[in-house]
Amino acid sequence: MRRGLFFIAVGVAVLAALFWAFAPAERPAGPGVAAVSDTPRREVFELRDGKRVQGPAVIAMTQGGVLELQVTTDRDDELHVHGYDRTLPVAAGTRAKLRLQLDRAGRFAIELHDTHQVLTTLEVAPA
Amino acid sequence: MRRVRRGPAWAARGCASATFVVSAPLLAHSFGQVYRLPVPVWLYLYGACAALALSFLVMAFFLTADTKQPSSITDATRADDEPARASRRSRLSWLPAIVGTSLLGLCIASGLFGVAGPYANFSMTAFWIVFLLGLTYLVALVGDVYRPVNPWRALVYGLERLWRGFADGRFRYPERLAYWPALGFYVALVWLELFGDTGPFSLAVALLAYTAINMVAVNLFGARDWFRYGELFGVFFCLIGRMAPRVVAARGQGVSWTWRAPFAGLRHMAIAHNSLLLFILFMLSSTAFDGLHETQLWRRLFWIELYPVVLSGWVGNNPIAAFPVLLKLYAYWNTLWLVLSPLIYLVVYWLFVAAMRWVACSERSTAELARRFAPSLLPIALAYHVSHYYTLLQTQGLKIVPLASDPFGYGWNLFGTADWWQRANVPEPTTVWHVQVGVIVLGHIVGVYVSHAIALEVFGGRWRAARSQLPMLALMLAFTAAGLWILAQPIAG
Repeated sequence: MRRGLFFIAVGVAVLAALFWAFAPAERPAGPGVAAVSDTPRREVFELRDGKRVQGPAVIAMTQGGVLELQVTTDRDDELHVHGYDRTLPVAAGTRAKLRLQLDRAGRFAIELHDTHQVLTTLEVAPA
Repeated sequence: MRRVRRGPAWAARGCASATFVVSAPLLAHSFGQVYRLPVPVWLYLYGACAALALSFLVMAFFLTADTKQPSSITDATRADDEPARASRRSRLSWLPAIVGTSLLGLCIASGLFGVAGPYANFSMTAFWIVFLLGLTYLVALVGDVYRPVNPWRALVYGLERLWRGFADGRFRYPERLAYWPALGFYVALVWLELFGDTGPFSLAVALLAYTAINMVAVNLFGARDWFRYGELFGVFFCLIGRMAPRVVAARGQGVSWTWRAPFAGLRHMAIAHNSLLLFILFMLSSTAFDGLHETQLWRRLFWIELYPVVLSGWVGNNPIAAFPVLLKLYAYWNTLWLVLSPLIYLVVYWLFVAAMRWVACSERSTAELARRFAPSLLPIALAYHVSHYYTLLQTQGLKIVPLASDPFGYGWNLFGTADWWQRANVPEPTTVWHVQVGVIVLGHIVGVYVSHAIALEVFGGRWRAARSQLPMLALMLAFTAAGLWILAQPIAG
């Protein structure tokens, strides 16, 4: 029993030492994050026949930032941002805007409801 | 807040735009939103190094231990309390049987008559998430609790009361069939999960078909043998339950629960047939394949490497015109690799077992050793499974509470919970990463430990067992590194 505990203790020590060796240094929090959220990033999308003709396939950002989506379509539809559960009705021929405060980290599909088409993927890295 | 009724990314089809290569066929995981980000490289390297270092620690642990007397091994899927003939008194307690059957009935009914939206219908969340994932983890913790609730078993014993001799079987279960039926159902299940594009209705049809097949098979071969070899979930949960720290045993008239060390059940487990070995390898390979086929790398292999170089001569150079054909080919391509995946794992496993046999100068055959050591792969399979799917319990599994109040999606509110937890429950990525890597490393350590414990029983001598474990350690490191590597890959579309 004592031998088992000894090996478990050594194991934990090995894990801790390795973690210390591998983990990247902490980034200074606070001011850096605030600077990100001050400038919203704007991404413009255009859809024709339910397909993306303008705009990136992946939007990579950091938690705490602000994203502004601008979407123009030739069809009425509804945009749905997964994870944030935000929806944006888009009317044919008009430009719709959606502002997102990126408070959740993860990988979120932005999808068109009526055609079940993934417009783009939002990748929010943890701050 | 408005309830989001329509499902996300459901049956999403690729677009043939200029960027179609990247966003093309979205045949992503069939159900449940995964908000997972790839594991950062440093954490992946940390996991691999931790697995390596701790493996040698396990080896040192055994080298300094007292050698124990070898003990007897028991068959992996034998159920002690199953009577040989169903008409003899069957130990089936009615309450769990009724619960299991009612839930199966509700799944089928809501699938057939409920709304088509997979997220608004009880059946999808109940089957794919709560049953397949939730019950797996519950069984790994508390033992095979599936057996008492097995709805098909309950149905058989119910039928037996109306039709004496129904479950006695007309023929002996053919020995050559072994566990192949269960493995076949397993491949079909994973195929349905990944590529079947199931909705509530098709799921209900699949469950009805599975029920019918089970009833016919029980009538042909008898309940005892069919539930031991043929019924997929029976075999699956029985294997998982072997890892649990709790064991159920028949004692006289009743059933008793006893406690044991976690994973201790694996050391004395006989894998009777190569088909069960392949079943265990498929537990590993199907999860690995699920992870791999979602990555950018996998997409690129087909759409950027294979299509322009090999396939374009066949389907033409115009990507838009060729797209429907390519999509079909891509589906065949994926199915092919899914079916081949356990064989690839088998070849790798076999080579390392042969190396172990050579190092240990064993007179047993490679096949015998391959089966004897197969249980040590189960902790790795479970770790793969947990690290790939556990977030689905958090994001989708909890939705079973609102869905229970409105199973058909008609807008009912039976228990007053229909509006609970509507906001998407997004797990924190850093937590997910650490859990994923932690679980995989832990599974690896347990695998190495179990394998070494088996080696001590099979090969005897302390040093001989340790020497034999060097190839096995390399094998498990390879499996672990592969699992971690898949988690660290960028995800496609």
